[in-house]
Amino acid sequence: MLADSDLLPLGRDLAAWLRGQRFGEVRVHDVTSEIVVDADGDPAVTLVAIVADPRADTWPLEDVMSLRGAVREQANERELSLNVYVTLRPTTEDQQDDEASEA
Amino acid sequence: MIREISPGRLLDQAERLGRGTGGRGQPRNGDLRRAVSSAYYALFHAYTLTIVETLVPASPREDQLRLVRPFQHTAIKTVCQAVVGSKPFSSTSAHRPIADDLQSDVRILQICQSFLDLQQRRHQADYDHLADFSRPDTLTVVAEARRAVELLAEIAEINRGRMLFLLISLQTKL
Repeated sequence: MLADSDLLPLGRDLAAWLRGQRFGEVRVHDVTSEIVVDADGDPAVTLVAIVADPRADTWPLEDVMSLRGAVREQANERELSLNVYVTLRPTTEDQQDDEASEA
Repeated sequence: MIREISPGRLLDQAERLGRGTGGRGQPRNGDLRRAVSSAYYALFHAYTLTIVETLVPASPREDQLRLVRPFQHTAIKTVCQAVVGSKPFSSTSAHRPIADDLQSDVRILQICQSFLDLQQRRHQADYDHLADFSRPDTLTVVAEARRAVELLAEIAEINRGRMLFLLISLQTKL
């Protein structure tokens, strides 16, 4: 198994690949990568993608699945035998209801 | 009276919590986290119910529900990782060629990937204070769970789907 120190550059490499990509309505502005421990204690790569705000409540599922599939393919090409998770974050984040009431 | 855990109702609950009241702000942090958790559990229960309903369709409902109980999250995860290739079975495992073959069905690939994604998000939602949840992202998680549940019903009709279910059953420790 790869050590965390080996995983960091692989995560950064995946993030660099994803940055600027477009999958339908999902336009990726920026990406950060992190090595995390998953539910079973196994190391995993997490990518947090800052993407253009959705036109509706959320992004089209097909586009999100395309993005995830493409990232998985890139991980497989790099022979990265561990889980890679992608979280999408909108560019504009509204306050949450409880934060608004606390302000 | 038997009150089953309904994947459909869990998904509806997740959607309700994820959408919020429709006010100006996003839903509360706790509601977004519960939405993600419910979406994952909807998929988990859909998996186990579909497996049992497919493998023993003629059994009384109570027996099916007893058989569902021992299924473990880790068993499903192990098989899903093998199918998507993030953690293949060992090269000497008799099940490895089967898992490799299952990759050729895009629906199975998607169901397995969704299970892994949702389990990780559920873990974050319940334990990670630093994890950030937004309404659009949460609604994507719910939509992904809903799609995976629909696909489970589809693959129950095909041989590769039943192979997936059998692999998961064999990983489950009684």
